[in-house]
Amino acid sequence: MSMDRIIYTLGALGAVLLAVDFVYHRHAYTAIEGIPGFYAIAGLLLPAILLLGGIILKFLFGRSEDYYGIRDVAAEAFPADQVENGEKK
Amino acid sequence: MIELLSLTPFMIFLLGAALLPLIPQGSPRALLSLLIPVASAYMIWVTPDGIFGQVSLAGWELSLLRMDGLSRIFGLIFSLAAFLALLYAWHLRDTVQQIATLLYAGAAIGATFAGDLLSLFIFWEATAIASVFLIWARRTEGAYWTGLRYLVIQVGSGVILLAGIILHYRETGSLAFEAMTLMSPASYAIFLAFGIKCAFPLLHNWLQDAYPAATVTGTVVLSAFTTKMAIYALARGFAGTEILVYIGAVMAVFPIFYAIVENDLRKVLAYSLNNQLGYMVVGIGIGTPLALNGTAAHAVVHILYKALLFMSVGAVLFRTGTAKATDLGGLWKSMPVTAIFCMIGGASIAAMPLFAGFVTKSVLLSATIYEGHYIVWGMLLFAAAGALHYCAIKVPYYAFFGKDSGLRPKEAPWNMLLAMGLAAILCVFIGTYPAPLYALLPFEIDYQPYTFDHVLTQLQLLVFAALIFALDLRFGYSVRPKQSITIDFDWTYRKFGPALIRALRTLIRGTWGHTIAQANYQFTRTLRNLEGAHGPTGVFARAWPTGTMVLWIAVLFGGTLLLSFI
Repeated sequence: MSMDRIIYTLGALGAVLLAVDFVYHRHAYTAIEGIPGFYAIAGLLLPAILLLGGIILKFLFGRSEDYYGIRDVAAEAFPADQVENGEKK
Repeated sequence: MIELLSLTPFMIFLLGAALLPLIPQGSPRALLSLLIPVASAYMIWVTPDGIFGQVSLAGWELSLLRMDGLSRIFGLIFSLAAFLALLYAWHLRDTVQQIATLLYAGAAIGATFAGDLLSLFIFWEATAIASVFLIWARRTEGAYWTGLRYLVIQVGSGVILLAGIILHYRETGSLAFEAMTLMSPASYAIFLAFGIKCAFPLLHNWLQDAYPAATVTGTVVLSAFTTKMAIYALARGFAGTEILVYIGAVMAVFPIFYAIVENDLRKVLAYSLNNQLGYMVVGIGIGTPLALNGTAAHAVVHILYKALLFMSVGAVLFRTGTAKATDLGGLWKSMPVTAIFCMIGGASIAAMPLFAGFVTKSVLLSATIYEGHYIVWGMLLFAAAGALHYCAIKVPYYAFFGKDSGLRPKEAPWNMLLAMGLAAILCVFIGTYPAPLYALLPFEIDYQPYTFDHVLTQLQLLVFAALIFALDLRFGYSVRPKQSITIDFDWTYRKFGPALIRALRTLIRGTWGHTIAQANYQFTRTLRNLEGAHGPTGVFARAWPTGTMVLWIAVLFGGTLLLSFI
């Protein structure tokens, strides 16, 4: 499956980039930012927080599309006369 | 005529909007509409720094064309955005939208060059009124109500601005639009008015409500102007106001949670627009020349890549009739060029090295860390990782890859492809060669985005973030899009507020009814008692014999006599 290949590629790329951190000394403005692997850890941690937050948000505040009824466009179809898919109308 | 036109670039748009209906629909009209932003950009380009376009209106001295570094760069990018949006709308045969686009873009450019607060107010309101037609042009019931909500908030912002201007004039006796400090009611009112159009947290819902409700082309137009006009106004009026740093940081973070869960891809992009504004607001709050340069530069590239993303999703909507993640997928097979443009927009917003976002976002991040705002810097980093997910991965993934929806629409029309192509080329050009953009910035800049450190750290962040999201897509689908919406703060005025008013109405009606019934009852009882006493059969109406009276008088006298002896 191509998704697996993407994951392996990203993993390999990440490992190489992380390795550079231990060989090359970066110019850091803060102590924490200068820790080798800081950005890699941030890259792993921040999206995880984001996904977790998304799950909670959706659980608490997810509603059906017609929640606001006819006064919102969420539940209505996009007007067909503004669509041009090449088919004859 | 030439004199009138040279007052402000807005006049070119106004004249164009007046002439447009006279030209036959189709290519001639589309071509004329394209010439207008070109003329405006030329005028902005050749005008030197200074104050021009002075007119007096009812005793007020207005200056309609203040040219300096800050207004020039915003004027130019607004002209470019208008050009791209009009090219994207070349196929459109809707006079209302064509005129609304021109007036809206013109008003935003007019506001950019306004040297005094009164003309700023006029253009501020003009953008509200012109732009709402891009929502109403969808011509559905939902769009009608959404447009009304949008208009109330937008015009409301203008009314608050006017109140602030009047107070400001009373305080200072001047209408000049200069830097202000946040201390008097006047400055707070003006700040609030700017904040509404800038979509500050809790004032932001009009944006995510209205932008996905506009037409295919309308959303592209909307995405460029109102919020960036407010960014410009904040940069002009409140640069260095510290609270903006924190407002901006919150603004950069919270919309991304909504962006990852929303189903409508245009709504995802509207939330992401809000988050990108957060970066610019942080820059304004820091207020150093580097930060303000970062804000201006980010506004420029943001308009480009956001328009590019809205254009690519718009093209999908135009061809399939839906922009919902749940209904789309696998479109790259029949719309490969649009898919590539969409990914270029995504790479730009995620600040991938070699793409436009990288050379401006890093300026802002550097400015933040130079000034010691470490927590805010961390929040911006978080937002950067988020931007990768919702725009660079989510939008292309669900529209063009992912689960095959079976839809095989035609590739976008040539004009849409051309507009997207131009925006994509600019994104890559600025990303690889930022010097021309840096040269246009309001302050001298000595900044090198392509240091080994910057590229390395950004790549580390993005690659590991992408890895997490790829793993999530492969194994979890933790936030798989569903046919649903996620309620936001607008719930307070769309559901809670009306419900509160209904409850109050019931309460007042009940109390009133009860009070009236009680009063009626008491009144009737009093009348009945009075009737009992004074009525024909009442005690006071009884006929007394004279003898009884005499007897009582005798008793009274007797009593008096008795008392006087004691």
